[in-house]
Amino acid sequence: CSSDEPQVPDQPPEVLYNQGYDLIQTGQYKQAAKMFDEVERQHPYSTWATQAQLMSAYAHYVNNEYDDAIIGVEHFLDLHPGHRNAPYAYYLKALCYYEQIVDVGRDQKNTELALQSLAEVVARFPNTDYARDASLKLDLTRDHLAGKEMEIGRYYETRGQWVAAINRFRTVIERFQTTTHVPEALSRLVECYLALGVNDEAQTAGAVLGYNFPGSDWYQDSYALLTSHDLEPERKEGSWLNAIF
Amino acid sequence: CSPTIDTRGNLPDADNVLKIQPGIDTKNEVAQLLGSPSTTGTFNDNKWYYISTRTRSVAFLEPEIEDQQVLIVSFDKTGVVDDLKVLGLEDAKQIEPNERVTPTLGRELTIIQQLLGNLGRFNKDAEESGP
Amino acid sequence: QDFFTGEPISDIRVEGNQRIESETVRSYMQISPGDPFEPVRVDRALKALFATGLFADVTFQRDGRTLVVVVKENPIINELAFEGNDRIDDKQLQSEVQLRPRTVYTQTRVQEDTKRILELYRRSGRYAATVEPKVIPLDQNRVNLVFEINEGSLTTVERIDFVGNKAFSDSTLRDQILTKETAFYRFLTNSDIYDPDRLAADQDALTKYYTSNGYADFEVVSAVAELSSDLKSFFITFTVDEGDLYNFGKINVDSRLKDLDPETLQQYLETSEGDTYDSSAVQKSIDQMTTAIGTLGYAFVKIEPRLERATDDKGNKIINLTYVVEEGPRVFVNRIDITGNVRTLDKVIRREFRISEGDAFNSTKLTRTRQRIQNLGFFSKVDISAKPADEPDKIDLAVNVEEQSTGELTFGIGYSTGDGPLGQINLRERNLLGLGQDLRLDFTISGRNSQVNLSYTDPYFMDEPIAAGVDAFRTETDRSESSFQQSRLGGGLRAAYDIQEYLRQTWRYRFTRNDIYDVDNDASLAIKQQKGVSYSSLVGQDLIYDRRDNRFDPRTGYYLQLSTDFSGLGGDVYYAAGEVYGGYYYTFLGDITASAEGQVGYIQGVFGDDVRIIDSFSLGGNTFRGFKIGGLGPRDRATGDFLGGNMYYVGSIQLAFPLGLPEEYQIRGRVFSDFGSLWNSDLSTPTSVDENVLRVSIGSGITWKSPFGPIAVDLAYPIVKQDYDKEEYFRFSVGTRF
Repeated sequence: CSSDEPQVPDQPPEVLYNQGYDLIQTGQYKQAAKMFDEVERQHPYSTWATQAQLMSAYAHYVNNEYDDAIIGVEHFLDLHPGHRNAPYAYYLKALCYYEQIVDVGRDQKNTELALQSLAEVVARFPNTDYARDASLKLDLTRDHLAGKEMEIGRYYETRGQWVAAINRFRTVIERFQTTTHVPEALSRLVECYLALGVNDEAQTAGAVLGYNFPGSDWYQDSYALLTSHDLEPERKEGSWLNAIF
Repeated sequence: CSPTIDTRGNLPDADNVLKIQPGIDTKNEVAQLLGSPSTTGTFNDNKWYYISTRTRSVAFLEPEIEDQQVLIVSFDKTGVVDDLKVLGLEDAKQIEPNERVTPTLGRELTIIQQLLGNLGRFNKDAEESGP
Repeated sequence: QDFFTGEPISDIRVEGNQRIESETVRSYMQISPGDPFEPVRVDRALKALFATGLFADVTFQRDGRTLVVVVKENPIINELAFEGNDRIDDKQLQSEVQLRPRTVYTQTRVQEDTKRILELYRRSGRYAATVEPKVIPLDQNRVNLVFEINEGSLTTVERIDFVGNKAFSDSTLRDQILTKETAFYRFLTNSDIYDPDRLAADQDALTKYYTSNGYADFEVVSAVAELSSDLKSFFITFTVDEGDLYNFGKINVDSRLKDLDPETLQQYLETSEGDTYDSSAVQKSIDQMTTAIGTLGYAFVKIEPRLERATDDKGNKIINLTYVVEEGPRVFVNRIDITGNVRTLDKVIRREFRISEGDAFNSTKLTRTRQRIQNLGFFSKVDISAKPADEPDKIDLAVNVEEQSTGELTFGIGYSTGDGPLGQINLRERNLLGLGQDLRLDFTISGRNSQVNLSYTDPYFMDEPIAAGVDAFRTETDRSESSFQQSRLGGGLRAAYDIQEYLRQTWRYRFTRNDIYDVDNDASLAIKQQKGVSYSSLVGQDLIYDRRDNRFDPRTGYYLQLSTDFSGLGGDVYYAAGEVYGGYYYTFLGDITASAEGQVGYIQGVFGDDVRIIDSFSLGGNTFRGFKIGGLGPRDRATGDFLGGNMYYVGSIQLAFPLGLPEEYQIRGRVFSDFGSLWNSDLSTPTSVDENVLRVSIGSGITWKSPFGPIAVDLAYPIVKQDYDKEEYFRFSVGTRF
């Protein structure tokens, strides 16, 4: 029938597998992936086929063909959900999404997918080194989503749309407490509330910023801003603070 | 030439605001009369803010804020209104947003990638095919 | 022995599996040793195993207290191919079909894929296509799968009939709908192929047409498409019930908004008593009132048209219309989330929004926003949906866009009597780096001139709605009418902004190195003196008030433009120039367009400088039909060289009309008259003539938007002219871009 590429002659599975393995070593990832696919096509029932499916996905991943790699991993997990290499398969899928994360200005679909698949690795295989690396990347992914909220918050703030800006910065404080953007979010709230004349909120935000991030540049700038309007950063109601921080 | 007037945010109806009786009305009544607040206190749910600005913009010039109103409804511990306060444009302070930005990572789109990647078919999702 | 004895299962053994590990089979079954032999459990396990789609057959046996599961695995597809497909290529079929090499073959999946292929052919108009899946078994439980396809011929729409239409003829109604009867000249379009979605759109088109022409009760009773027995053609029949013809009766506005006087809204009404009923005019009135009320500070407004059918004293049917203006639901926008922008930056879309987070929700502003995002031209699909947010009176707006390729690489070839053969290459990226910036590079080579032009524009310079840009250009022009060659090399900056909705101003600075060379030795002395290089450093502005419906083929509206230039900020060329353009367009009797356009120009050397020929004005060719380029105005009689002119006026009145051919031929005829004059050149010789004398030409022509590109043919004859003018009766141009 009509498949156009040259037909790979039938060979025993281990020969094909080793050819694939050598191709990976020499960096010819595309051919390597094809060779591993051949192992499975010619010998679907051999033990080599199972391992070849995973190696094919890995070859696509190293070649930055993320979509093909993800298809390969899902194909492997459909057939061998309990396989001893399953943790690596889930981890590989998470990496595929993670490495496609783009800057905060654009659609964060891959960031959300990365977040889900990384969380899945940590949940399913808690005490593997895949989980350790995954939880590290999880923080970076959450930090990235917080970065997007901040980007939109700043967009509205520079246009004097204080309500929109305030609510975006609050989202960062409430849902992304462990990220590196919290100091800036608090500092921006000081700015926005001053622009509205709501001094209590500005002072509260300043106090929380000072309390949690005393050495940060953000606190210095906010402190300077508050005092320039002869206000002091100081909490305006009960010690509600510990609930959040 | 007539400038464009934009009202932003939530400007509650003046008559309804007068209907609020401190000491009697609770959060539900206030929500009935004024709708849900533009935002609440950052760390304190007993402070509701109804914020609105009216801007006047001519051509590409910076839109100037003609009027700005912040209605602050504060409640006591039991959720009953204990104070109503209105802030106007005169309370507003001039601020310049801080230039610094907390850095984020993520691959920027390079020019070559954009020019080349773009001439052909673009949307990757359309291509995803099941196993 | 008996199967369901309720005893606990001691062990589970899997037999017959080749590719799938026993462990995997056990994990899908959800039965484990220790569970009792019970019908419910076994049945559930059976269903679970079949649901995986991995097995052709599953049977349970009992060996003592061991449960034996005998499975027969579905074969694996080794090769998958398509045969007999010509119109649709393998790649397209592959993306439509679920099965792949190395996946599991099941009977149901093959049937589903067969249906998918048939559906693909139906959508491209081939209802007679047949698909036969062929399975070739191989060793190791593998199979090859081949879809044998017989595409059959194209099923076209043979005839479209209307039943029940009295007010409008079948042919008028056929012009309203998109589906067309098959005809030889439709080989390039697929409008004559039956498409169910398009049939639904046709019904809306018919309803819109009738309700905009007085038939308020109009209704499409049925739209039936019968397939001929030989599966080759469709017969479509629309049965309609026209109902009565209505005029507008009493029209009033009932405002229930606090202290909003209905009188102030009258000016926004497009409907007046006595007019024929028109549903689109009603909708336009509502939109205009909603926008106007919005700016008065009433954020939440809902306008309902209440129709009341009656008969007036003279017995004909009228509709009394009341616009009920009341407060709409008090809903606020909570979050605006934008997805799908894989390349375009979030702010490039967000800055088009007329609503921000926290603002009152207003559907007119939302429609305006959708339009503005669509007009960016970066997206093939823009949809904005409202989702309930955490508070009852708050909603989140989910914006999903589907980006299209905004890079263009187009080639163009053409011919015109003015410029001779013409070749063009354009490389353009309209959404550079997702920032919404525009970068384009154009090459043009023609008989008369060759040009390279690079231009970059940022529509939101420094986040302000200012379209700022940088240009660089190099042109070579053969100024044969004045027997010299001109080369221009330079660059410039520009900034444009809207002062008001229809009033736009553009500022520009341009630095140009002009070189006049290869002057023929028998050229006029005045031209010879112009030889050499000059540098012009010019600042200028355009102010345009544009109320036309569209810029390229205006049918209604008018525009006025004032352009002024001053060259002399450095460089060695000093002049000040001003030009005023105007145009008025009016379409009546359906498709006849009358237009009147005019231009006036004046240029004056400053600091004692004379205006050079390359800076002064010239008329002819497209700007004054009937005369060659530079064919009228000051001229050296001895050498026949055109000497340019510092003052001119030119006008053109034109009537364009359809030629009675079916509307989608897009051929239009026109008759026109151009008139004007050009005089007062700073160049003069003993044998030169320079006088302000009126010239007039009349002519006619056709324009055709042919499948090969726009074609224009004009015949023009100057009826009032000077003996030394140079005429040109025939103009022809064709241009295609692919």
